[in-house]
Amino acid sequence: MKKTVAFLAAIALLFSACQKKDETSATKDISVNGVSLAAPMKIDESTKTITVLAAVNGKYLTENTRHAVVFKEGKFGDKPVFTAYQNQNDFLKAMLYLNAVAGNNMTKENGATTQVEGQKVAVSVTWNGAPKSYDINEVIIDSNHRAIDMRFGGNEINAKEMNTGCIACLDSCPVGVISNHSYMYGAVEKRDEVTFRGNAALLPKDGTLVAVSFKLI
Amino acid sequence: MRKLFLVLFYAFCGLLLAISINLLISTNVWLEMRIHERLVLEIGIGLGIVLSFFRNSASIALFFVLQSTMFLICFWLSKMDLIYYSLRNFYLDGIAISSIKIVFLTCLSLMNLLMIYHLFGKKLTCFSKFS
Repeated sequence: MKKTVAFLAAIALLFSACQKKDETSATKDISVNGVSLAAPMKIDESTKTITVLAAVNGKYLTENTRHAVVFKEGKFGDKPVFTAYQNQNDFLKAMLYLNAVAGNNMTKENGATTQVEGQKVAVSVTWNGAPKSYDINEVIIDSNHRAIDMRFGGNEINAKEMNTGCIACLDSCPVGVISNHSYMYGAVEKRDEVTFRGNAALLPKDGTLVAVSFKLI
Repeated sequence: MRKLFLVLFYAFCGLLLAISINLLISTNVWLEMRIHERLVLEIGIGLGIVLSFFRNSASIALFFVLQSTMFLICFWLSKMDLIYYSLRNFYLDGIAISSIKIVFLTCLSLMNLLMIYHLFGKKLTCFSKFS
């Protein structure tokens, strides 16, 4: 019996040792394109660009999702291709600070028949060691090969109240700050019109810190 | 000590059951987007712990059935790595998937060795007969 308990204690130790090792890794000091864990968001007024620190979620390099960028502590923080270190509310404030024009045309009631409007946003992703900054259409694969057309939907009240953490969604969304004009709400989850996943051939491995840039156009 | 072992054993069985359920959930994107893996694992482990209070020995049969079920679902769906992502979403954020994989498979292997030792070698009192 003692041996069995010792065996289980060894397993527990193995887990805790593993956790310590990863928590003390050097990622805290890493800066990617001007953003880091200490300063996860950067606003560039001259180019009207907001850059947010995020990490690649390896799960969605093979699985289907409707979430592109979500704050890690939001309700859907475990569902995006890129897990952001900046919350959606501050991100939205930054968008408004840059005088971005919000669509605010999406509601849960009209979602299934409405495409998100608002100012166009070019989303790109880069990471340390990447040869260039990749457009979102390169790093996220649309099964229909339709271009992802990100718009500043706004949705300030829903974003705060529902606290999903959604910064960028892959179909038109009444909650996400930015979402994809190309598909109406429910295209991924309810109507199976399309599947989205991260491009495993291009993106770095799970957990790699990336800088996601949102440029107003 | 015996009770502690039973709690841990059945909690692990609950974990295997929860992983299987998460794998099945992943086949439907609507469910997958709404049900958090963490919640399923919490319920699975919780059920395992509750079950342990009603059992006097660790059921080898239950363990092998749950383990086989988990691997069969994995192979059928070709979603081996989802096991580790499920585990990571269970309060293990920030830990590398490779580390989780090593620890989980080590635990599973050792559990199997312990049971093989019980079945074919010295009988361990905490385990039930294989029935």
